[in-house]
This record gives sequence, C-alpha cells and structure tokens, in this order.
Amino acid sequence: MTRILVRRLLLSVPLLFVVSIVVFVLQSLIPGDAASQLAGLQATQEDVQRLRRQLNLDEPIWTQYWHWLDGVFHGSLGTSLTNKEAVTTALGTRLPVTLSLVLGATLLATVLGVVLGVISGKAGPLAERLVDLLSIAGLAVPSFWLGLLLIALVSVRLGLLPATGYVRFADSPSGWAQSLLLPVVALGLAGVTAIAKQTREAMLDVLRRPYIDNLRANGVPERRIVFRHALRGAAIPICTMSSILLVGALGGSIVIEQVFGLPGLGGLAVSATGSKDIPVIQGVAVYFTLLVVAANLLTDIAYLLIDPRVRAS
Amino acid sequence: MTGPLLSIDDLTVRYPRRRGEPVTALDGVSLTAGHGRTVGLVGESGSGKSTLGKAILGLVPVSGGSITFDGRDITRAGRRERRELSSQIQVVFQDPYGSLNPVKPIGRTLAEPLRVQRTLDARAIRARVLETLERVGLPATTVDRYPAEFSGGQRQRIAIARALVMRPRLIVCDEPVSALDLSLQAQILNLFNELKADLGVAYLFISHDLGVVRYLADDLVVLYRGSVVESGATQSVYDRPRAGYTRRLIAAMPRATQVTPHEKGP
Amino acid sequence: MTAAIGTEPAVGAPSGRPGLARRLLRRPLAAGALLYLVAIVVLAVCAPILAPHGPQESDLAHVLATPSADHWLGTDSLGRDITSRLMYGARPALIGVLVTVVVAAAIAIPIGLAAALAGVADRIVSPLVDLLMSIPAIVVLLMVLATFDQSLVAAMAALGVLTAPGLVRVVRAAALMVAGEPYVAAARVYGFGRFAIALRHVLPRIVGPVLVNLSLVAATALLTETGLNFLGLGVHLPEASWGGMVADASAVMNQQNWMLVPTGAVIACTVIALVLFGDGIRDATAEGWARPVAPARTKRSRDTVKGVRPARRGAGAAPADRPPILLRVDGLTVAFPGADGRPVPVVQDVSFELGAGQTLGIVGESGCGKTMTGRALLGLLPEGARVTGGSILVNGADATAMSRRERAGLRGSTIAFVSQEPMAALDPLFTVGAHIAEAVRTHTGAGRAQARERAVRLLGRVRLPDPDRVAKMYPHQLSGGMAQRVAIALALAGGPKLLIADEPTTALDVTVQAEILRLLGTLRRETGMAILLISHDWGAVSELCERTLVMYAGQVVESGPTATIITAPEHPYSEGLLAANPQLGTPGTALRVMPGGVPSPGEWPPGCHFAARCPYVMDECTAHPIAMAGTAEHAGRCLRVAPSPKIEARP
Repeated sequence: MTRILVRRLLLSVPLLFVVSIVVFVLQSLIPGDAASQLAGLQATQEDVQRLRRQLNLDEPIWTQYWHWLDGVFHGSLGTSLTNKEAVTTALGTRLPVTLSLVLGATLLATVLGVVLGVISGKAGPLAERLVDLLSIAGLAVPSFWLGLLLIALVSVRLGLLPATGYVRFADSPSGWAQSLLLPVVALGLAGVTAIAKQTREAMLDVLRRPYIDNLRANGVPERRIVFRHALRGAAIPICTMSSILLVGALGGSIVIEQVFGLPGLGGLAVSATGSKDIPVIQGVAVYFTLLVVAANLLTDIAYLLIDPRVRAS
Repeated sequence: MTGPLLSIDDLTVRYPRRRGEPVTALDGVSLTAGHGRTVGLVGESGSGKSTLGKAILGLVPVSGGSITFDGRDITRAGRRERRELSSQIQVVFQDPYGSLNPVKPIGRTLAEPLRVQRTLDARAIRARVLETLERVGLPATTVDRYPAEFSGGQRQRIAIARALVMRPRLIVCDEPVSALDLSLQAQILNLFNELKADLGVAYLFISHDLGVVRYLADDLVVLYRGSVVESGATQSVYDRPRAGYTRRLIAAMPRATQVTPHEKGP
Repeated sequence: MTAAIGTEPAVGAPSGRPGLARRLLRRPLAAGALLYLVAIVVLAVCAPILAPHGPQESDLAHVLATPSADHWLGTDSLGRDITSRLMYGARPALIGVLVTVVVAAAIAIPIGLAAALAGVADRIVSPLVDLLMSIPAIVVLLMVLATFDQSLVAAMAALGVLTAPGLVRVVRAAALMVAGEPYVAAARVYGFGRFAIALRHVLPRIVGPVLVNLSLVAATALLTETGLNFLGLGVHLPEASWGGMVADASAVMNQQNWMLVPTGAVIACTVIALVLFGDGIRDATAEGWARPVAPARTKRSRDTVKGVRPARRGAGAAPADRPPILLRVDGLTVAFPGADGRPVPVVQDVSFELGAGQTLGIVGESGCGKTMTGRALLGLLPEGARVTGGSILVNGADATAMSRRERAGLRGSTIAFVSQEPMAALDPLFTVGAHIAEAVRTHTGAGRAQARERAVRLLGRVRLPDPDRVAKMYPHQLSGGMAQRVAIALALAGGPKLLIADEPTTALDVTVQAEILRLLGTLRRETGMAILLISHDWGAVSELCERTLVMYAGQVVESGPTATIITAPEHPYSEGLLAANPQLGTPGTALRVMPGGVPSPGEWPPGCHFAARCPYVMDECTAHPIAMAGTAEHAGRCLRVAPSPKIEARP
C-alpha cells in the first residue's frame, strides 16, 4: 500500500520538472520581456539593458532556469519582477482564497451530488430524468455567467450576500463564509449534477451485480444493501469524479475569482502573464501542480481504503 | 502425407509479469496430431490448455520448443507466413457472443479472410460463403444479418463456418461447446464429426469436459499445471488411466447411468 | 423480454437498415441539436450577409436597448446590435471548438489505439498520460496566449493537446475491451496486422464512446473559450465574442440585466446541442448493428398477484410416513409483460411438493424457466415479471399473498440461495467474514463479536481449512471452489429449511464440482435442510437429488425419482436430453439430437410445447394443452403416458 503512494509521490517529481520547464520554455518565447515592460515607454535602450542585467534576464534561458531551480531547492521561488515581493509571500496570501474556493466547490459538489444521486437512484424514473436534465444544464451553463446571475439575484435584487470581495477567515469566520458562498456555488454547481449522475450510474451498476442478488436472496435487508454495499461499491467512481472536478475547479477558479473580485491565485496568474513576471507565473504553475498532485494522492488513498484489490496489486 | 499433421515438441510458454518471475503456462509440452484425427486436450482452468491452442495459432509468443505443421516449423511464423497458414489452421472459440464482430454482417465476416488471400474473385467468394453456410446448416439469408440476430447455437455454427470457409486442415477448437445447452451441444458435436468425415479436417479439441472429449476425440492428452500428465488413445486412457490426476478427473465425472429409450407409441 | 432468457431463432427480422444519417434524424433530440448547430454555423459563416448590423456599428441613440423590431435582442452599452454581435461572436467560438476537437482527436485516437493493441506502446503511453493529465491546463493556456499575442487558435490547439491524454485513456480503455474479444483473436489468426485490426475491427466498435467523449471535449472547449474571452483573453477588442459579450453585460449590471440573457443562453444552448448531438450519434451508430435491447430489468418487483387468495391451510397435510411438507407449489405461473402489453408466461402451471430434508432437482436447458421458478420461490423476480397464477405454500402459508416485508423475512431464514458464479456472488469490497457476519446479524440479531465468531464456525461447517484465516480474506483471494464454499456458508447463516442452489457447480472445475456436490449432500444430512438443485447437468442431479423435475419451455414435463427418470424417461424431451449427453454416446456414432431449439416465451404453441421437436408427435399433440399424467410417484406431460385417476384427483 505505501509502495503505491511512494510511487505516486516519486512520479510527481518529474511532473513538477516537466511543468516548470514547459512554463520556462513558453515564457522565453513570449515577445518582449519584463524589463521592457517595467522600464516603461519612455525608457531608453540602455535603461532597459541595465534593468535586464539587474534581473538576470540577459542570461541564457537554461542558466535562468538553473537559478530558479537552485532557489527552489533552498525553499525560495524567487521574487516578483514587478514589485520585488517574494513569490512565496505573494502566493501565500492568495493561496487560502483559491484553496477555500476550490475545496469548497468540490466539497459542495460531492456532498450534494451523492445525496441527489442516491435519491434519484432510488426514487424511480422521473427523478432519474430530472437528474439527467439537470446534469446537462449543469454542464452547459458557464460558471462565470452563473456567478453573474447569482450576483444579480441574490446580492443586487435580494441584497442578501456581498456581491464581491473577500473577508479573511482570521478576521471574521462568518464574513469569510458569506464572501465565499456565492463563488463556491457558482463554481461547484456544475459538479453537483456530474457527481449525482455518476453516483446514480455507479450505484445502479453495483445493484445489477450478482452479489447484490445473492445478498438479497439470503435475507440481507434493502437498507443495508443500498447504503453498505451499493454506495461503497460506487465510492471509487465518485472519488475519481471528485478529483477530476477539483482539477477542473482550479482552472475555473480563475474566472470565478475575476467575477467575484476575489484576491486569489487566478488574478495573479492573469496579471503576471500580462507583465511577463516569470517567477510569479512559475510559482502559480508550481502551486497548481502541487494541488493536482495532492488531489491525485488523496484519490489514490481513497482507492486503497475502499478497494482491497487495489491494496493487493 | 507422411508424418503427422501437427507435431509439438517440448513447447514452453512463459508470460512475463510486471514484477517478479514470469509465469510458466506451458512447461515442455509435446504432442502430435495425425491427418484427419481429433486430439482431445483436457485439463482444469489454469492447466495451460488454452495457451497451447493460442501458441499454435501464433497468438502468444513461444519461449522454447517447436511447433511443426505439415513438416514446416511454424514456431515463430511471421505475419506473412501466418496469413498463408490461416488457410491451413483455423480456430473456433468458446464464447459464441464475442467471437463474431457485432458491427459486421455475417457475410462480410465470412468473406474477409478470403478477400485477404486474393485468390478468389468476388463471385467465387460469395459462392464459397454460401456453400459453407449450407454446410453448417444455415440458410443463405444469414449473410445479410448481424450476429445479434442469432442465438448461441446458431452463432457457434457461424463461427465454425468462418473457420471452414478457408478449407483448413486443422481447426483448433477452444471449448467450442461449453457455452451451449445439452441439445445444442449434441447438434454441434455431430456437426464436428460430419465435417471430419466429409472434409478430412483434423481437430485439436480443447475442453474441460472429459465426457465430450471421450465421445469426440481419437487421442487424448491430459494437461495438469502446464505439463502433459498422460496421453494416448482416448478409450485406453479412459479405461486404464495411469496418472493420478487423470484418475481423479475420471472419478469426478458425474455419473449418469445409461438410458434405455423405451419404445412406446409409433 | 427474450433477451433475458436466452432464446433460439430470431430469424425473420428485417435486415434492410436505414443509413446512419436517417437513423440520426429519427431521434428528435439529436435532430434538433443538429439543426441548431447547423444554424449556428450558417449564421456565423454568413454573418456579413445575414447580420442586420455591423459588429462594431454603434447606435448611440439606442444604448442598452431591450429587444425591438430594429434590434431583435437589444443593444449593448455602446448601442451595438446584440443579434449581429452574437453572429460574429460565434466565429471565434466555433473555430476554437473545431481546433480543440481536431487536435485532441488527431492525437488521442491513434495513440490510444496503439496503446491498447501494442504492449510496448502502452508501457510508454500510460505513464505519460498520467503525467500530462496532471499539468494545470489553465496556466499553460495563459502562457500560450501571452506568447502568441492572444491568438485564440494557438490557445485552443494547446487545449486540444492538453485534453488529448484524457481522451487517450478513453480510447485505450474502450479498445482494450474490444481487443480482448475472441473475434479479434480470430482476425489475428488470419494474419491481419495490428494496423488492419485496429482499423477494421476495433475502431468501428469504439466509435460510440469516442464520439460521446469528443462531444464532451467540444463542450468543454466552448466553455473554456468563452471563459477566456470573458477574461478579455484570446480576443482583440472590440471584436465580438460570446464570452466578451457576457463581460460587457457584467459591466453594466448596475443599469440593466437583460444583456446577460441572450449571451448566456447562446453559450448554454450550444453546449447542450453539442452534448445531445454526441449522444445521438452514439446511439445511431450502435443501432446499426445491435438489436433493440429490452429495458434492463434490475430492480426487483413485488411478485404478488392482485386479488389475494387465502392460504389453503391443511393443503400440505401429508401421510404419516412422509416428512412434513415444507414447500408446496401449485400451478405456479410467472409472466412478463409482452410487447403488446399482454402477459407472456415464462413459467406455466408448475406444481410440486418438497418435504423437509428432501432433495429435488430441476433439469432443463436455458429458456425452460428453471431459474425463473427458483426466483419466484425466493420472491425475487426480475423487474416486470409477476406471479400471475398459482400459489407457493411455505410451511403452509402462501408466500404469494405475503407483504413485501414478510416475504423478505423468509429469505435467508427459511429459504436460502446459492448462485452459479461463486466469485460474482461475493462483494469484492468486503471480507469473507464480514459477509457472513452480516447475514448472521441480520438473522439472529447477534452482536458484532458473536456474529464474527459464528461466521468462523460456519466457515468450518463448509469444510474450509483454517476458517479463521479465510474469514479475513477478500473474495479476489479465493479460488472458485473456496468462493462457492463461502457462498454456501453465507446461505447457511440464517439456518434455512430450504436451500435453492441454482447451477452451483457449473462454473467450477470438474474435480471441484464433485467436492461441492458432496458438501451439499453432507450439509443436508447434518442440518436436515431440503435442497432444490437447479441444473442442466444430469450428473449433478443424479448425484444429489432423490427426485427430479424436468422442465421444458416453462412447463414441468416430467417428475419422478431421479433414478427412474434417468433409466426410463417418460417424456420424449427427457429422453432426448439424456441421449444428447455425450458421456453416454458411443464414439463414432452420431448422438441422437433433437432438431431445433427451445422456443422462446411468447412462441409457445397451444398444444404440447415439445411437439415441434418430438419424434413421436401425433395430431392430438398440437390440438390442445397437455396435462400431466401418470402416478404421483412418476408423471409426465405427454399423451403417451397412461392417464391415472390419482393425478386427476389431486386438489
């Protein structure tokens, strides 16, 4: 069991390399660089050159990458080219926002989805159709549009929750929850229907298996069959779907943060790509990749806990 | 026509595994099959009997030993040689549902190997297909239908027709009647015997069912955990089993007593 | 109906099939989706001709207008016509979707097929796919957009590359499943190369799942594209784009919300159309070769009949020298609703008795109703099936008149069940001990520890060596024989009076079969439970059962002592079935065969069901239903059996 986890962790090392190299190569292709951006339009050629030297941008790309990598091994992701802030600090203040948003959305989708899925699976064909329709709708409605709709309805029309802005948990837990509620719903709602559908399909699939029949035939009550056997059998596809949603939510968070004016990693990524602030982009890429790795690892652990066959292999 | 049709000598097949030692599926197996004879291959699941059939058909790589067909070494025949061989050696599988491509009408499935050989024109191919279908007792309308329209017994007839359409000299039959009900099984077994008598085709008949093999096979080979534990003429092996495993196998056969069909009525 | 029962001929089905396009258009949802998509494409391509206004043409007199004759969908904050801008905005959206789908498919389909069909390729591809799937797409997209001066095509191509690994997985999994089928092996025997096999045999089969996934890729691509546009990326303002128009709408939300409606709706509708179109194509391709599948009947249904009959008390009274009657089945008929709504019987007028501790075999081929009879006794008929006649008296009480709850109470404690596939009969996620302890607790209300202890004892009962260790094992760690012993232990947990064993040895090796049959015999002697053995195998039945019922096409055609039936069958079907057994055949002489196959339910003749295959058939056989005749000891449903007053007089 630990071997699988170790293997997964070891696999994530080349992954981080690949991602950081891809980002480095891509950014080197971007026309212009941070120096010319920072120096401004009035700057002379010499100014830009000097700035470039200061920022080590005149070195070959592999040397730059090596510097960056060297920093990583010393626990530093470098400093932002635009405001000289340490990248870890800049990301550190923004990470909790993105993390709460993404985790909240995934959690909402999973919990609500499983409940809906079980109900629709047991409630008959009408509920089944309804979940099918909702799941297409859930997929189809763009999250940013849903976010705007929520703002228009809940915040503007009803005046219930703040439209935009973020309150830190340390400052006010309830304010934090209120500021996140709408973004989490906007980001997570599509996932609810996906999970509900997955739960239902997986449960019905398990309920079709011969062992369910066998348990029934030998007197095991229906309640236990649904909640103990069918739901547990469905847990693996549900976990898989959850982790896919989580990775998807990372991408979606960028747009949602923009809609709700949340100071998360997404906004930083967008502005950093605009200003060619390579260390920051690299930092965001590394953080996102680490989140993906963590999600995959959690999924693997869930598999191991649920299915003895995985443990054995 | 001297020498056996098929001769297998000291055949070993090992499956590599991701971790650890490779699994030995067949360990030094030797057997021969004469022209127009039926060799029964019995053993329990995991005995390697299906692997042996696959090795002859070139579906698994051979680790050691040799397979000789009609005096020619085919142990590691390449694709071109296989294509040539496919008119000599054919196969019928157990699963009548998976052994036909469900997206193709039967006629296409039967004609496909003939088209590849490029020896017959379209007209001759059609004639051959129809003739083969008739041979296995199916109507000519079968050609335009899809596998889903047929029952298990009919599909097994089609699978046999597909093997026969190339006019092979050896058919490897991997549990061809195990999925069929008793009355359909009897029909197919009779068909096998008729084809053997009429066309002189030889069979390597792989089965877990000693009853079927005893009825059908001239010679019997008993496999146990990848090795031959006993072989010989079927009746003599059945009457005087030497290996302990063969004896257990025969002892485990469910005993149904002889029927005496009573004549009442007309 | 017939699909579930395993049937003989379906000859006569039409083989002229409509083409793919026709099949697609016959599905209203898919046709609607296609129509919508075609309309969007036409409007986008012909926007310069069809659009009522230019995309940048602003009408400052009508800013933020609601729909009117001049501006069908109103105007934006610069007074630009929303309808026209939506038409122009469709261009980047469609190009983006097309680029992503083409790139993803071009990469994923060949690679996925290669991975499935060649082990070498798989060893490279699979880890690579895992790796690539973990790359955060959005970061790469942002970089690509910055690199290529906000070029949408570049970004969407990159998205295609990033989506490809997921699609590779889908293609590989689907292809692996097909590649494992015997017909692919048969194609290899013909000497076809991997490439030819992939193209001819594998690809056509996986078109369905691949298309569905491509339609999902298209939907995701559209959402990503509009999302980027919403952020002002991938588009050069003031060019029109759907995402950008939503952004415009959000900027003026304080003044007006109308603009959100058409912009959001067009995105959502297009996504829905893509998904529905994909589903439609998949269904239409599959329809080409599959015969219509009967709706899956998975959930059990109540099998009680409307109009409850009172249980006939005392009907089970038996002579003193006989064991008390445990089960009495009288005229049992089970039916499925047919295509025209009328019930089609699958079991017809089945009657028998089973005394405590007795053994009874039910023999017949598939489609004869053996299994359905067993399920009716358990009260676990498949969805749709109903007991439409007769009674099932368990200890004198009519089970068909019981409530669902009472019926469930019988299962496990009075009637237990052992099925054919021992491996499939156990939940792979639970240990052997957990399975049995669960059943023990259900039936005895024992505590956790106590149930566990009893579970281990039960494993000992079924002669498993080292029951303590076996209790901790998972089903995948068991051999077939062990798994069947575990399944039997599970069935014993409630101390049943009757064990229904449906083909309990069919899936096992020959030597193991004999052991399991012997075990069942031993357990019967030890516990005094009765056994109903359902089997196609004369050998198994003669090994275990005192009496046997032979079933054919839903009816009992013969009942009597097993030894008598085997040596002197009354019914021609029993005779034919026995003669078809190759064990009894003489090598070199043809087996005596019954021509044809078992008729499907719904195709049963009014007279003798076996008449079409019977060598002794007479005119009277086909005239009207044939009753059972003979003695209580040995009876047959055949005119050649001498009628006996004893049978006719039975209640």
